[in-house]
Amino acid sequence: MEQSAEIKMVARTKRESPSDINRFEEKRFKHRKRLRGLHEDLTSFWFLLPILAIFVVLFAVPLVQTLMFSFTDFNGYSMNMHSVGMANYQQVFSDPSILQGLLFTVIYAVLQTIFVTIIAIPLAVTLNKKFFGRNFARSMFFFFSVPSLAVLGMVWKYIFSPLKSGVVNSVLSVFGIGPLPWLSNSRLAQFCVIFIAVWAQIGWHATLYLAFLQSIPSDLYEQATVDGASSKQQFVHITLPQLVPGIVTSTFLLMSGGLKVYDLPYTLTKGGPGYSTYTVTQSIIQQGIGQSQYGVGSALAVLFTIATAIVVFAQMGVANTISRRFQ
Amino acid sequence: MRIGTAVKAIVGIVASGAMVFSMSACGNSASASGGKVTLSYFAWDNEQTSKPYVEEFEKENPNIHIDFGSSTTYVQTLQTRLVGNQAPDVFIITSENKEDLISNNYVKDLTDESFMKNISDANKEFVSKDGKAYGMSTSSWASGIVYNKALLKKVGVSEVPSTWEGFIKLCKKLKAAGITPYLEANADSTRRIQDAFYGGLLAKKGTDVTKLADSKVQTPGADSKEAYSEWMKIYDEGVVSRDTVGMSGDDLKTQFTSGQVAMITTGAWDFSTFQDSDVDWGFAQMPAMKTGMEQYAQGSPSPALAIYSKLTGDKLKAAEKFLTFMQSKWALKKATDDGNAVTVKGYNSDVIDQYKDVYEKNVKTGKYFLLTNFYSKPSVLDTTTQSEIQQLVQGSISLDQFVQNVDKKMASAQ
Repeated sequence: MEQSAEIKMVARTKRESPSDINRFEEKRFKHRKRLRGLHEDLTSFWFLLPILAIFVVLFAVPLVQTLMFSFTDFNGYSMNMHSVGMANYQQVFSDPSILQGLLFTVIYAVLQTIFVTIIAIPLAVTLNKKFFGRNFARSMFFFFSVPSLAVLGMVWKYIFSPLKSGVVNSVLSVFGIGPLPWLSNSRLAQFCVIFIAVWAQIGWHATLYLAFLQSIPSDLYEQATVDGASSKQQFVHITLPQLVPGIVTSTFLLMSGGLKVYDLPYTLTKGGPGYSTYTVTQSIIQQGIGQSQYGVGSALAVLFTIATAIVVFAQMGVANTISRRFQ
Repeated sequence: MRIGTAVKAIVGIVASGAMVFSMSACGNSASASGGKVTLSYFAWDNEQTSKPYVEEFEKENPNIHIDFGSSTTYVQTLQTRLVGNQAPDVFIITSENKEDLISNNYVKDLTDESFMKNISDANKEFVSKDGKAYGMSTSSWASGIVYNKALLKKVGVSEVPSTWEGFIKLCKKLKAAGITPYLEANADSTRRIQDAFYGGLLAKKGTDVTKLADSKVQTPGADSKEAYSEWMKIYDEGVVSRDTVGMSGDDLKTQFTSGQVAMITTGAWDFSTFQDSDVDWGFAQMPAMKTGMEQYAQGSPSPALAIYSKLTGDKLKAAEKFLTFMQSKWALKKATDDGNAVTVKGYNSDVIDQYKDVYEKNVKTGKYFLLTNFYSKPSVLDTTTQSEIQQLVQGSISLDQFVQNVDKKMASAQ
């Protein structure tokens, strides 16, 4: 009250109109709000500082170093390195093994994202229904995703062995089929890698969808049932739109994980036969560290980081557009 | 133009920090060991294998303490330590790192050292450049053909033929009798026969193998084309299944010990598995590529011990003592007991009966060859040949394309 009287007095002194006074009060309010915001930002900053420090040390610094190495002939043994300009980048684009690795990585990432999504959603819907042994079934599907893909690769190597004694070939022989050259044929080896990746990940992503399904209000379904909507109509018009945030999260994780895949193809086929299951990450590790060509490995890593960032941001953009349509 | 000042600064800071840390650690260990000379030894073998040697050496040399270390990613770990100024005093030099270690002056020239006197020429050549030896290797390995005596007997054969032509004939005989004649592990252990053939070919031509890596243009593909052409007959004539591209060394062992294949290629490292099985087995020399050529094996000297080039004073003396000890009678006997085929002059390894033929004719005579030992960029060559061989066996590329792809990759890596 006192403050307001003072403002009015000042206004009178300066012969200002009432609208000027209002503007002045508004300005002060905004200033105070800005100060409060700044204080809150500072508090958030202190909370973010540890992760920011980790990000700088473990991500930003190596990224800058990688960028610098990509223009040099650094071999990992001597710091006496020389600039080679864009030679390492030229080598990346002219090396057929890297290009084949890039092709399989993209195929792997796209196909596993599509198949896991297509299978995990109906699985989650089924696991959300009431039936005998539901909790056991949920645990079983989730269990597939517990072992690392590297371990699964080693186990599945015996299952998909091209020998007559391989597990799948032994089963097929009962029906008079095979033996099939699972890991000896390029196309079949690619199929095996993608199949195992899908098999191993549907459980985890079904659990993710299950969590989103359980947050859909049941009265939506009750209302739809009263209105005479069939199960299919309920799935298409209620379940799917409500699952969009879940689909966005799941496909983002699948795509980003798929692009940097290394462990499963390496333990299952070591990138073979030939370069048929070779991946970009294997190429970075093999050329950079294994073959002491840090320059080439770094150039590939830089290009791949940029490409992955573009794919992921594009995917986020599309996902946000779809999300807004269903809101 | 030199660049990377900022990178050097970062590495320098990290290395300095590590040095300060390690110096404080050294200080502690020095006081704990009561003024003993501490020698750091970074080994290729794991602790279980290496520890008995270290303990015996410390027992014989109470004034020297060995600071032992090993890693499953040996080559990369050693590389990181060297570039970060954390070099071990004694470490291992082998085909994967010898070129880089020698050219960057990380290893001491051991040519005239007394402990090198009894080291065999083949073992010296393995880690030599310009006539100077940089490592001490005391044993070698050679692969051969493991065969199932009972299965060979079914077709009236008691031993593996000494030529490739004879070998293919035997395979055809076995196949006709409904027996899987031969398998090789093209998924992870390629080049066994091809390296043996190429070694024999080089020997026939009288090529000095130590000069192969000196050539500015490395063409291992074109150089070994004849050997690959002969080896591919086994696939081109339909004797062996092309599915071997998906078979690993473990797959082969399982097939052999369950009596499902007559012959496979492997080496002494798998003998214990065969001995534990019910199969009556033998181990034969690899066949010669052609009649009149020598029977070479794919093989190599074992990784060698090296001394860090900047070592001086008491530490250098201790390192030399350690290398002298590692070719003493006690150490060589221990190496033999561990399954190594010792090649030091004047010492005979007591190998198992099945291995005697290959040991006498290949290991002791140095008639073995490993492609990656004699060309530069061995890691590039190893991974490239493996992938290209798989495509060659699959039939997705021709022999000419194989040669071109290998040599192109080698040229880009130079």
